Amino acid sequence: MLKLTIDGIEVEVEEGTTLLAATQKVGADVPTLCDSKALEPYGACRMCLVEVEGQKPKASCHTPAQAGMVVSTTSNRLERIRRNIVEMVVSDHPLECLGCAANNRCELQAVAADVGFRKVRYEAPAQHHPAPDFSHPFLKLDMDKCIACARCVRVCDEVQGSFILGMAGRGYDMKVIAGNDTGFEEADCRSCGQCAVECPVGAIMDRAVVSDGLPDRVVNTTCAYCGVGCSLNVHVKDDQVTMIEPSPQGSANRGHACVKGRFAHEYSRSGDRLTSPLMRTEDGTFREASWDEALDFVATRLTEIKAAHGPEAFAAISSSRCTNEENYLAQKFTRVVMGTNSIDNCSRVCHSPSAFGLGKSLGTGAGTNSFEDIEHTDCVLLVGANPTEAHPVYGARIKQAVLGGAKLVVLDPRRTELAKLADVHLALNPGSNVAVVNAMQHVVLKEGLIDASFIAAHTDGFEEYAKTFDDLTPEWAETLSGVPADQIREAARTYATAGNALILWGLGVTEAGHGSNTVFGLINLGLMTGNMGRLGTGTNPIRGQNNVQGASDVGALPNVFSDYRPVGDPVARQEHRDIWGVEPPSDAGLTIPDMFDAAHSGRLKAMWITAEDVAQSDPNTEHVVGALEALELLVVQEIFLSETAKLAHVVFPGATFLEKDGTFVNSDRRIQRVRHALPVLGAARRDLDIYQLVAERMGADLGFGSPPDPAKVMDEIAALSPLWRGVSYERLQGDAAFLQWPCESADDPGTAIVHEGGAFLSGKAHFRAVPWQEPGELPDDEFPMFLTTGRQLFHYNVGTQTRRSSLMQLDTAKSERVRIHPKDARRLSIHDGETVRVVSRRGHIDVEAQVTRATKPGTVFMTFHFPETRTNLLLSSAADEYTQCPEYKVSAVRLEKAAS
Amino acid sequence: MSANLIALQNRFLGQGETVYDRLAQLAHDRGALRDEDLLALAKELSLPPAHVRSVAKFYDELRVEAPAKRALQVCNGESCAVAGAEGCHAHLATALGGADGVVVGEVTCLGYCGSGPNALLVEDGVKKVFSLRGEGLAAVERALLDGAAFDPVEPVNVVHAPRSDREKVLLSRFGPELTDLAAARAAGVYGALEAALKGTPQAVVDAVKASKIRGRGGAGFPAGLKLQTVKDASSKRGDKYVVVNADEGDAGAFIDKELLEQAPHSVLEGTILAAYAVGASQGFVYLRGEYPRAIGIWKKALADARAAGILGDSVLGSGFAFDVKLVEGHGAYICGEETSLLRSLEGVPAQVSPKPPYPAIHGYKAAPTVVNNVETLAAYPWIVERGGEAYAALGAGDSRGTKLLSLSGSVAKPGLYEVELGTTLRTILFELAGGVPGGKAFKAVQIGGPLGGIFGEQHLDLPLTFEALAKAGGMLGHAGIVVYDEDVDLVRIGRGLMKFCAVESCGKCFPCRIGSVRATEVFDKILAGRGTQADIDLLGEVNETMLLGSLCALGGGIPIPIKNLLTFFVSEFEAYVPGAKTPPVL
Repeated sequence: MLKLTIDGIEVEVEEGTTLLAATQKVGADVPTLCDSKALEPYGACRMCLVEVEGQKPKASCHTPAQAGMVVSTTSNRLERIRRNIVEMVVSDHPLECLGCAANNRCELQAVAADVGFRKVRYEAPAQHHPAPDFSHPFLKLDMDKCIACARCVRVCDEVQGSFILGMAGRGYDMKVIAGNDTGFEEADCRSCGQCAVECPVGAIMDRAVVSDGLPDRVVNTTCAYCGVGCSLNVHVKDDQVTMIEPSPQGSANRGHACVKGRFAHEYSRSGDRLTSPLMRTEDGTFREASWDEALDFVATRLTEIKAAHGPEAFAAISSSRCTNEENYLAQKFTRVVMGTNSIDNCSRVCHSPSAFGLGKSLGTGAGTNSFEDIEHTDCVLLVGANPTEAHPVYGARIKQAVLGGAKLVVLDPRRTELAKLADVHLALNPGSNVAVVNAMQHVVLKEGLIDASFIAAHTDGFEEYAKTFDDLTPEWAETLSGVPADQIREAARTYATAGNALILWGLGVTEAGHGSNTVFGLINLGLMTGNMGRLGTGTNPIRGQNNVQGASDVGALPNVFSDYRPVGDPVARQEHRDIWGVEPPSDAGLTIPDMFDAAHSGRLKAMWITAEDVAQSDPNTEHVVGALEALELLVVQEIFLSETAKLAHVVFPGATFLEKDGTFVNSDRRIQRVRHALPVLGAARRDLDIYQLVAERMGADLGFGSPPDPAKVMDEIAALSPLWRGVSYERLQGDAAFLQWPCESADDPGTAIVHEGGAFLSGKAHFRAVPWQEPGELPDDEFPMFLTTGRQLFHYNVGTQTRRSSLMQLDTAKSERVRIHPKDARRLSIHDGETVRVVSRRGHIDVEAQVTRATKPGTVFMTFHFPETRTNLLLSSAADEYTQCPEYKVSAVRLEKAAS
Repeated sequence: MSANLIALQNRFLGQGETVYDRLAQLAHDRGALRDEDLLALAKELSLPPAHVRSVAKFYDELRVEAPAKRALQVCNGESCAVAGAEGCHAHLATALGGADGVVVGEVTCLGYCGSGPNALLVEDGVKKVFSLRGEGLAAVERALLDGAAFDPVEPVNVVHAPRSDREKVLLSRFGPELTDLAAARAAGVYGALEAALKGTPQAVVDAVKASKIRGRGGAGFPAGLKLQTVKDASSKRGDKYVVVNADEGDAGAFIDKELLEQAPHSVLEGTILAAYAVGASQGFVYLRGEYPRAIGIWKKALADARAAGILGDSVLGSGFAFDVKLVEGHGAYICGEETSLLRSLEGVPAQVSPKPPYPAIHGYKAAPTVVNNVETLAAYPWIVERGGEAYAALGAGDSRGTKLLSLSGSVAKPGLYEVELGTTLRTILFELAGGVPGGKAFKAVQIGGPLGGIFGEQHLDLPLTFEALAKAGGMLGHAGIVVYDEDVDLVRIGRGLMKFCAVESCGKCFPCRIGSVRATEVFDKILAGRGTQADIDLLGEVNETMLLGSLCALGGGIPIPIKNLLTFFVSEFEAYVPGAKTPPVL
């Protein structure tokens, strides 16, 4: 700490603090144009000059405060210089403030007023008048207004890491360029929109702002796409969203957002939203019904089915897209009103192996560390994840960390954006994760790269575990994975010797026949190298959906209550009995795949599915559809008439995240508020209300009022969940407020690093040796190639939302393509853009081919964003042996020329 | 902003290779860089096209989009201007307007300021420098019109012998014959290095400290302190660097040029001494592209030194490893500014960076880096050999040692002089250089290049020291000296300086980028006879804003001579604005 005097006030700041930050500490209002909290100091505009006694004026944004400095933020000459700089800037800037969309939010305008600028004294100054660029789908570029502060260029570099923009030229003619100065259209822009956020004037703006003007209100909420949990500010005018901007206060996103969170929101007011309950008619079509009729029908039929067949004839699937409170209500309805534990959520088909493995080895089924750790790590081991597309905001942070010097090891069959930057990229065959991860453990063990004292102090089972690795050599793994043994060695050494190393994984690990075993292996790696319980270390799944963590946390699972307390645990049962007033069911319920089997066999008669298009997104589509068709009653709660809804007897119209209140839990256990920005559309209702309305008609009360108060729901979750006990809406009030669980009391600030210092929730952490097993299917003569699936940046899951948004304007977002390596394409005489047939044991689809080096030879890649392409029809029906998570990532296919 | 771009280059090009090098090679091979060349390079290197383009568009030579068979550039520096370059340029532009494949342009300073007006002809990647004096103008015009071969004689700068051995430091081992390594060694070059390598690095630092030598590039920072800072600084990766700033861009300065050409091994010896002192294993010579002869000499000098074991894994068998890479400038004056120079070496857009952090702590690729001027380095061998105290015994006040001066403009004996610091201007201009020729009266002298002060008769008794010139409202700078006689219009000189700033500004900071353009426009208005006192006052305000507000010494330095003009020579403005007065704000 050091002391200095600013405007006569003595102030103490940390070493390295800039003078600008110090002036802000005493409340001085030093004008700036090129400075931004999100960016490194730049020193271009010079508006922030301050007087420093005994020196020339200093630009405060990049001058470090020094002990004893005597600083004045105003003086006659400073005021004159600032006015003169504004005059210079304005001399090459259009004076059309009233007609400018940035009017009243323009920093130049505000600063000009602040310094008392009146007029330009220069006679006929030379000016630049570039033509506006309309080639970007979401942004309007009017560089006539640009003041060359480079904030857009800097944010594209320092935050987004895409380097789409640059400052080209020198002197007065230096200008912002996109790509090779070809305009945005050809620049491969990722459309995060951050350049518009940073632009202090109206040079780069959201098209929506340009056309719609200023909002009536701005509502802070949490994004409903991936698991990053970006805090967003929704701008609303006349009950329509005009624009969504990232909240600068967001703890998970730190003022950043991605193309989906920012621009793909129109679905909320899409013309085909369900706005009235639908009931199936005799002839199999739907008719609109009143809420009373639909609710009465469902309540009556559920009562009848329960009476006739018992509680186990019912099952519910709740949604990781919905709030914690909605999920909690869904499970409470299932357990209390229907009397069964058969509630599950779609984490079953994505990260159930993560939760399972982490829970078994470490004591809780969540990631160990936080997003912040990425800035403090020396090495990232990234396995089966493509975060720059699937989790763009966190992906950008990983990229920044790697560019900043952190080592990167990537295990992925695809050459993703991050794989290109990796120190070691193991392009392994789909399905060979366990082999490669085992071989990495072998290397760490055999080369003595373990942290023996950590192992001794904080783990058990090591010796027995270590005995099993003699034969699991890199050479052995090479034969299974196609990755040279030396690369596996290098990967293991890089991770084990880095210092602080952290592991991240995605669905490339979990959506596999032996996903849980890969998770165990990765945890073993973390444990044996002591990379646990410290900043910059840990083992973390990157969760795919906005609330996939929370849906499970609050008990929408068939074997546990909230906080993962087993349904058979006597203490948990007692606490639930006390609060619920009924005896909770004791036997574990059905998982999602079990539900479909039970429906086929006739044991399951009724299902209530909320916001989950299982007929579209689950593997082995025909089996799922058959199951749903076999039910006596299928209730679906949805915002659109999904493939699943089409099979329902009753469809309840639900609400989008923009229309409701609640909380989501993101990938790193951050509980954040969701706040309604729009009224619910038409006669649709909040999902929370619907459970209560049905319960009421069945003579029950879920206990939170009618309509239920989400804050009260949270209070009950907290009361029944030891690790959430300190969570309440009161503590989540402000914009972007958050609590990271574990949060065990009202004064517990939350936990960024679980198991800190090796204090595992399980007491000691457990090593678990895992055997190598083949994936469900492997290529053979008939189906010689691997098909693996994943996401792309501009779409989300089955596209329900993104396909009803302006993202569809983007060429890359319009349709599905099968990505094939040039080598394979040559061999099969397949040309880029040609329609080909992809055939698996389950069936075939016709799809356009894209020839790219981003996939490895012998493996083709597709997304599952395009229901009409029916990618899932091709997929293997194998699943993880512990959690039944389907093997979306490994199928055997062959490519043929499409029949003409 | 540049750290990520460097990281990307390291990833995709390998350590040490840069986009800048690749662009320079391409431009050299093809004579131009078209849009598609830039895109193809970006694709080949897996680098963002915006990065590749931003680097290319920063440099005059890399900005050329259409190859010219013959590119003729006339110097627009002050000395050449005084010698009539503007007329030559206008004449050639008209005369050669229709000549096939010929493009006529401008360049600032080719380092033969005593022989101006000068010009540069580029054909097939070969640069030829010549004077347009006498027959020169007609000869080049004829050759280019006819498409005939043109092989002019490169001018020679006169090097004047020092008045006494006392003032013979930099010129003690100096001469065209010393480009030969054997001759240089016979003359004693590398003797100081050989001795120093037997002692400690700190001994070298101590000698430089004791010499009290201040940096000769212009800023005058104590060189010993800089070496000590770099020596003591911790480096994250363990790497440190020495950069020879040979981007001598000041019009009227040919000091470094002559050292580079006539004492290359002494400069290299000084560079290795600095590297040994701080523990650097890699050095760079950043040499401006307008000095083709010097570039040729350095290519040979470095190769010879490497072959002789003076550079490499074990310098002179000492076990100390050091090598030097020659990097050519491509037409950007600002790259003489040390942070811009470092960005250029790193291969990222060469906009100036804020200081702190200083290069000594956070320089090339964020590692501690010595950036020294050629002349500073050239003095190290003498200092190490004779001891710092011997050097410190020369000079005056806080300005110790000798200084090379390049004199040009209205002076009888232009050329290079070595004098002890503290020598008065009068002695230099009138005793040594013979005063103003042709019976004309002395009007003014500009010392220190375009950023240096302009002084008049009343200042002639100023001693040439850092402190005296600063106190008088100027600076020693790099000590290029241009003399103006009674016929020179100083308002036009002022306009030329602002225009130079506008052309050479990196564009990053607002006062320099916009201010220099606006000030040039105000000058133009005044020169056109449409100016009023309000314009002169406005000029004063722009000048103050640039002087106090600019990020680096270019935008902050050009206002120094303008301020001098508006105070010492405000009467010059009366020809355009009757009753012109010094503005209240300056």
